[in-house]
Amino acid sequence: MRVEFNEELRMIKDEILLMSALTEKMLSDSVLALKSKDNELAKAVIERDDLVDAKEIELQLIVSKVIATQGPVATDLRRLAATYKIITNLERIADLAVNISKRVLELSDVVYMKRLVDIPRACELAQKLLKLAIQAFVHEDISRLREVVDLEDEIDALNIQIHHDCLAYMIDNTKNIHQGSVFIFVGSYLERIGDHATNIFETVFYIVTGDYIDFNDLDEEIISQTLALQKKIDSI
Amino acid sequence: MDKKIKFNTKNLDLFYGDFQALKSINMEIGEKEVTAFIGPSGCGKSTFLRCLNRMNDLIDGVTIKGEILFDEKDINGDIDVINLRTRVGMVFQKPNPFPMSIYENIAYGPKCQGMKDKTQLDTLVKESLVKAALWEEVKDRLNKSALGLSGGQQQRLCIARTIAMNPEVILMDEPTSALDPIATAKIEDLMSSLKKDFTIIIVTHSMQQAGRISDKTAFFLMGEVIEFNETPIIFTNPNDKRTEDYITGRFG
Repeated sequence: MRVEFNEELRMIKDEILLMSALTEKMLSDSVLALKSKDNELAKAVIERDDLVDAKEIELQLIVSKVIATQGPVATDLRRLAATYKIITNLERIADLAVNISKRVLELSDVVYMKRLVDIPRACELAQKLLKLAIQAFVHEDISRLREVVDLEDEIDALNIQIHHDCLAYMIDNTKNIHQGSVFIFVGSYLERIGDHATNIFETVFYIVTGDYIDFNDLDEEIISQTLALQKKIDSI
Repeated sequence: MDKKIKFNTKNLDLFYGDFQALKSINMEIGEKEVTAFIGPSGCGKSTFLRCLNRMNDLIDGVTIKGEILFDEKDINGDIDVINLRTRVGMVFQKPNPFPMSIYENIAYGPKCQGMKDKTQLDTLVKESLVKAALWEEVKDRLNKSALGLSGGQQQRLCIARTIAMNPEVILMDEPTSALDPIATAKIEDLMSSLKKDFTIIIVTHSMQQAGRISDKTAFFLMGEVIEFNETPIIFTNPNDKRTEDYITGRFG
């Protein structure tokens, strides 16, 4: 039943996966460029942003067309409404990867005050969080919500750590102020990337349950209710 | 404050001979709300609608069990059926104006009920046509045949004819299925304005129509009410998988 509509939904999902893969690669490359002081890689990330922007617009138009022509309701409607939010969050993540890359270019002549450890770690966690959110979207499975909350907390803690470390270096030597402030910015970009990835997971939560919930307000009761609901859905 | 309940059915079963067409329907229909019935063909929604003004009395071999309370009084008991059908009017799938003038179509019912005063009839005809959003289109040709009107106009005339009897409830059985989108939109707008004064119950095959016009929606399947809920809930997050499968067109 509804062969064409199902095909359109599948195609939208594939396109989101493609957009997400592009974004994820921009994120990891931007931090790799920062770590290895690779200006060429940073420039490549900045150039790739156009692809993600174009994909966002393309998907917006496709989703509008499908809503107009197929009259989706219930889960189909939630899937399509959620697509708008997911692609906006992906596009913002790509923008933040561009911001990181621009900072790399700013620091091209600077010798780093220390080896970067926490920033690559925060990037790794943000990527993991994004992967979790996208996997949840693909399978419409929200059972890993506890991991999402833990990862976001970890990224937040690392951001604070980066902030404190940089302040200490900047106080110690005023020559470190420029790069210190750049690393503080990068830490906050990664923290915001974590927020966007969490938003994507929250949107998948909406697709599955029909409810929006702020994951900052998540408690054990909601988590166990969600796990029970997911189990019930899986059994149908 | 909770809305007043206009109809309340309790364990309603209906049989056509041996075949059970309705199975234990329990439903409370609120006053001055639009309630939509949806479901595949043969699911019992029109049968249920016809129970509400005892139109099934006209079909041989029908047996009804359970209660249908209209303003808390069982309509299958000892009641005046003519009076019931005056209070619970009906509009059908195909417009069915009488082969008379537009004016006479509206005035016929009230005249049968004994209204003779010309001025009173004139006022009633005008008021009914205004309420049915048809007055501006027909005011200069009230004495022309109603059969000369377009399909959409004829259907609004039938609604005006129903309104003229000052019913409390209007039952509509797929009232726009024979109409084009513009005529449909006019009828849908009309329903929104009519619900200020009337309780409206509509059977529709258009999911989008149910979504646009109704406050509550009941999904029927094989003689049962699977889900009865606020319309926005039915169309964004239905509770029952069968409702979801039907409204998303994946029922098979």
